[in-house]
Amino acid sequence: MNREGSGTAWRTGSRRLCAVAALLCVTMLLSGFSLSSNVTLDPERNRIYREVSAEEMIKALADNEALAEKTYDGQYLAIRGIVKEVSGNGRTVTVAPYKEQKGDASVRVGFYDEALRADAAGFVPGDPVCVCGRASFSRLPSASLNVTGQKIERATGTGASGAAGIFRFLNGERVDAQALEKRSSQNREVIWTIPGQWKRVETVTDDYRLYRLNELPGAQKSEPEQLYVFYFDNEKYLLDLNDRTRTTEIEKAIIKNILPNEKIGFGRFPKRRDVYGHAFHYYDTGYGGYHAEFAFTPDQDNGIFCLLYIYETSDHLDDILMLMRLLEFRG
Amino acid sequence: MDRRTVALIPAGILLIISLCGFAFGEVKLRIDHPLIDLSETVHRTESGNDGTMQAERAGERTDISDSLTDHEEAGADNDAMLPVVLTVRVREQTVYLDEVLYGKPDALIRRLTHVREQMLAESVSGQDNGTPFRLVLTDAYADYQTYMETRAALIRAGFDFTEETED
Repeated sequence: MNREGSGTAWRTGSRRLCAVAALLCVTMLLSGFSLSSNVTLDPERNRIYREVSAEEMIKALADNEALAEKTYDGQYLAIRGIVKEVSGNGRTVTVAPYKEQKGDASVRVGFYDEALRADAAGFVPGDPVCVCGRASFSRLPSASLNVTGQKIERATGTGASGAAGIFRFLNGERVDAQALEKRSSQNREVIWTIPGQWKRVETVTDDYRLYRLNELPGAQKSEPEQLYVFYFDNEKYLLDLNDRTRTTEIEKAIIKNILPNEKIGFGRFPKRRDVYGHAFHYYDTGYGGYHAEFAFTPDQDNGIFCLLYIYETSDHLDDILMLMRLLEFRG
Repeated sequence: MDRRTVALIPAGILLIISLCGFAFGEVKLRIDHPLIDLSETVHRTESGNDGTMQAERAGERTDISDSLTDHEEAGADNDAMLPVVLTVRVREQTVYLDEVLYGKPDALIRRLTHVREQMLAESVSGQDNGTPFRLVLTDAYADYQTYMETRAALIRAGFDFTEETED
């Protein structure tokens, strides 16, 4: 027997074994935490921006830097104003208030996408514009609000901002939040909004509210499109209140309570996004031949706000995304 | 550290992660019923021949679109404050429930359950077969949300009832 030859074979084999084992582990761990594009209730499918004027932002910054940071930093905004300058072949657009004012205060918008830069390059100073993007507050070299642009388009009308509470989808659709109906959980700690016409198809029970969206006037279909909204109150539903910090395990318990035959295997954790200040955990599966998707967002250790969306076609997805956008926790 | 040990480290990490989940156990819920009974609520909505939408409910068809249409034709705003009148028709007698139960579906269901149990206990022959009274839900002077909450509570509690809209 050639001992040296067998030793070499073992070293080669063990390296391969290490590599395969490490690759398997990394894959299994990451699969649970992957941000899957298969999630339907994903706010990034059609991001929602709050309309605000350049004048309002500049004034807020001048009046109170700390408050401006709290109000705008990290927010998705649709900023209306006029173009003051376009530089770098569309890399940067400076947006000024529609009304002339002293000083050269403005909002700088940067575009990092070639297609967006091409769009921006088509604007000239004086054009009324609406820019959608995410704002960030910076103190260096001086306090300023900068925006990472995600869309730029010519504004209609005067270019000035409309009434407060107007939201704009990336696809251009606008929604007046003040025209929406408010609903709250039984403990009044969570508030969500629905379009007025959803009242017609709303069912209220002790544990949840059901919206039968496929029965909405003008969009009636036989195949179900249903949204269940419910608040899992830890004090009301948990057998052992010490479990209230185990959010993932509670979510699994909720899924199994509603879908007793569901097998939640190892590595298949709810997927996560942090959007609009809420971290949504998702779990997608099926029921009765239809898609079934859970979206959970925790209310600290008090409970979990839950959405269950069952559908064949997601015809009213934008309305649900608006519900998620305006979700409010009072705690 | 030899190569065999190195090869076992990833497997060991996975095992520890798995055991952590098992060690703390599953979260148990206090309730013994589904938060949502999808078998009752997820269903195809069928169109009637006249185009009205009908929803199946526990084997009993209730045409809900007509009652909503009547509401509209009467010029009533869904948000108008109209009182709910819930009548319990006991054989030939109509019993009106206390106003204090309006807008409180849980209390309403407890009262109805109590009434039903009492009447069954009083029945000599038991011929009522568990349905000693006829329950009618009317929406005269109904706040829309209260009406729908009451309706949903009755369905969940398993009460059979009919709906009548007043002119």
